[in-house]
Order: sequence, then C-alpha cells, then structure tokens
Amino acid sequence: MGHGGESRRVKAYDGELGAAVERAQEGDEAAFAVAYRFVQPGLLAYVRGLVGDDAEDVMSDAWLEIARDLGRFRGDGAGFRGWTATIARHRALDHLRRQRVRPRPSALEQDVLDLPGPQSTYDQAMESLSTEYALELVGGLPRDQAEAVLLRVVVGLDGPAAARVLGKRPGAVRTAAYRGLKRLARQLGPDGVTDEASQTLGEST
Amino acid sequence: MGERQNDGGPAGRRRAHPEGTPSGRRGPGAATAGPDLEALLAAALIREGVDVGAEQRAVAAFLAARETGARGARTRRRDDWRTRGGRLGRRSLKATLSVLIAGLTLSGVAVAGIGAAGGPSPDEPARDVSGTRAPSSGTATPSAGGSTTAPETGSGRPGRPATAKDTEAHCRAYDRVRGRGKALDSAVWKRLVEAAGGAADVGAYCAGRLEADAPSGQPGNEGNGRSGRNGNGPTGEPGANTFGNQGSSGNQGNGPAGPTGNPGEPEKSGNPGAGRP
Repeated sequence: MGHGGESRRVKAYDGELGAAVERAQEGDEAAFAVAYRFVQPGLLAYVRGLVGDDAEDVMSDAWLEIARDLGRFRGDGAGFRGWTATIARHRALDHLRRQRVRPRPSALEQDVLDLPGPQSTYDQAMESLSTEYALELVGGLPRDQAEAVLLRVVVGLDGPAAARVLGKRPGAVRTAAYRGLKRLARQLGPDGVTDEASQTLGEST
Repeated sequence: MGERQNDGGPAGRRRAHPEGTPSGRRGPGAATAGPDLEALLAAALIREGVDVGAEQRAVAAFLAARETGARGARTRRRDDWRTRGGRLGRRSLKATLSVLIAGLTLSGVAVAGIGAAGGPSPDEPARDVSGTRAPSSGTATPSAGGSTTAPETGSGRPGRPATAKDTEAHCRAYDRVRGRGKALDSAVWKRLVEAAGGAADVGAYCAGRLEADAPSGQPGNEGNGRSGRNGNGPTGEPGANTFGNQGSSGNQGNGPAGPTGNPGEPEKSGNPGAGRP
C-alpha cells in the first residue's frame, strides 16, 4: 500500500473531483468545498516548493482567482488539477517577482547535503524523511527538475498536463522529472544522509 | 552525532500518512525504482487536511463570484482542459486552414513568376536573346538574324539593343496605337521613339527596320536584299555554324544597307506597313 505514489492516489479520486467541480460550476458551494479539499494539499505542497513559507498566502490568492474563474473552466477532475496548478503557479511566480526572495537559500541546502551521516542507514533515511528535509532535497534540484518532480509527485499531473502548466514540451518535462527523481534517489541512497542531519542543522553549522 | 540519535522519534514529525511507512521491503537501490521514492516524497511533502479558515475564505470567494454572475464568463484557451480529442479537431482545422493559405500564397507567387518571365521585358540582355531565341525567330521571320545587330549600329545605342522581333512588333503596333494618346507614353514606345531619334522620325525608322526585315523577294532594294540574304543563311539553316559568324555577317550586310536604304526612301514608310497582313 502506498507504493503507487501520490499521483496514483490522487488520480483515484479524479472521478469524484470531476463531479464536484461540475456541481460547483452549477453553483453548489458544498461541492466547491469538496473540490477545494481534494486539490488544496497537493497545490500547497507544490507552491511551498516554489515560495517556501509564503505558500499559504499565495494559495489564498490563487483560490480567489479559481473561485472567480471557475465558470470558465472546462474539463474533468484531472483537468481541474492542471488548471488550478497553472493558476497557483502564476500566483507563486508573481509573488517571487514581487518579493525577490529565493524560496530556499542554497547555502542551507548545501550544508544539509554535505553533512556526513555515519549513523544513518538507508532504511532510516526512508522512514524518517521529514517535510523540511524533503523540501530541502527538492529545492536542491535545478528549478525545472524541481517543478517537474513536484507537479508529478504532489499534484499528480501526468506528463502532458505538467508540460502545459510549465509551458514546455512534454518530452522536456518528462526528462526533467526523470533526472530530478534520479538525483533524489541518489541522495537518499545508502550513502545519503538521514533526516536527523537536517534536524541538527542549526546546531552543527 | 549523539544529538542526532537522541532526536525525537521520526514518527512524531510525520504527517498523516500511515500508509507511507514502509516496512522492510526496500534494499539499496530500491529508491531508483520510482514509485517508492515518489510515495515517500509525496508523503513527506503533502500535509493532509486543510486550514479551515483558508477553506472558508475560498468558499466565500466562490459565493461572491456566484452572486456577480461570473459563471457565464467566456472560456479562454487556458481554461479549456478537456481531453485531447476535443482539442485535436480544432487543431486539425487550424492545420488545414494554414495549409490551404500556404498553398494559395505559393501558387500566387508561381503565377507572378510566370508573368514576370513570360511578359515583354525590354531589359533583357541582347546576348541572351540572340543565344536562345535566334533559331525560332529565324523560322518565324526570315531575316531576323541579319537584323539583330542593326539597331546598334544604326542608332548608336550599344547599351540596350532591342531584338529584331521586338523592334518589328513595336513598329507594327506603333502604326496602330499612334494618335491614341496614352499608349505612346509607355516605356516601350519611349524607347522606340528614342531609338528612332524623335517622334517625327519613328515612321522613317520603322520603315527602315521593316524594310530590312522584308522578304528578299521584294523588288528594288538591293542593299536590304543582300543583308536579308546574309542574315537568312545562317539562321534559317538548322546546321548554322556559329552565331558569331551570323552576327558579323549581319553587320557587314547592314552597314551599307542602312545608309542607302533609309535616307533614300522616306516615302516608303507607308508601304511596308500597308503591305503587312
């Protein structure tokens, strides 16, 4: 269980999501709330990868736009995830442009990755991956790889949908996701570090 | 190092994803298999459950949008996430249209090219014309070869010699369009008038030209007859030796013919024109 990945889990609900979106488009606010609960966690995780701690604010703005433009949307549950991800991404990029803030300082991520972890084993790494550490790892990827990985893993988009969100060719996005995941796997491999390393980051550096 | 080990149990920091806690199935390298790693990342990154306040704000925005009747808003391209089938039809229609337009554009260019190549172009170099057209003009107008270089020597304008055929045709047409105003303003007529040395001399010039091209059987014109014969020889026969020979013989033949023929018979200008079919 759980091996299918978040994307597969999310896709299992696409039928329900699509129905909720349809009812929301007819004016049903309860259905809108259902749709919100379906997609918000994944979108928030994606936006957090882009803007860090400001993700909640950015998503609030994004939902204002989603609620306003819902009548324009055409598509099913999977389409709704792609559509909302596009809006969330635009709001996040606007936010970055305004704030001129890098989501994750590179010095921090380098320290994390360079910390030796003699006590760690691969199993420990797999069992104790924290949100913060996962964010650090993803944030250490090149921007295009990080976004491709996040859209696939936490938003649950397939290749073409992720490509449309990013405004790139599907092949390029597929390659970026593959490379990003491969790099993460290498970092989490037997020689990688455990999540305790990131926990003690503040003290050890 | 000790701090790390003493750090609180990992489960305490983990979010609600009980199914994400795998057990003993992994060995080294398993993470590259994809699904495991993706599940792990998803479990770590996604915080299940939503902030109630944020959800209420979103729903309030939804209600406000509903009140303002935003539901009937037009669907933009970026709002259309229907599956590919629907969009494919639209795209193929667009492709068809662009292919059609491209075809029309290209055929237009081709037609324009034909017009440019086939139309009368007085600026063509004489060398090309004599090289490519001389044999055919030799059959159509018997003495074309002999008269090819005549305008050069006669008018003293070596820059742009018209072909014999062109000059003949212009002279013939000149009689028809003379007095009709505008037609004489065109570049072709201006050139003809220029070659003749003035509007008043066009008649005499053309008489000389047409006479020179007349069949050698016409009586009373020794000089022209000779030049016609000279010109005819090489051009009329398919096995003509060289065009260079033809050109020089034409020159020699026309040299005497021009002075003797033209000044002596100004009144004959009407004859060749009238005699033409």
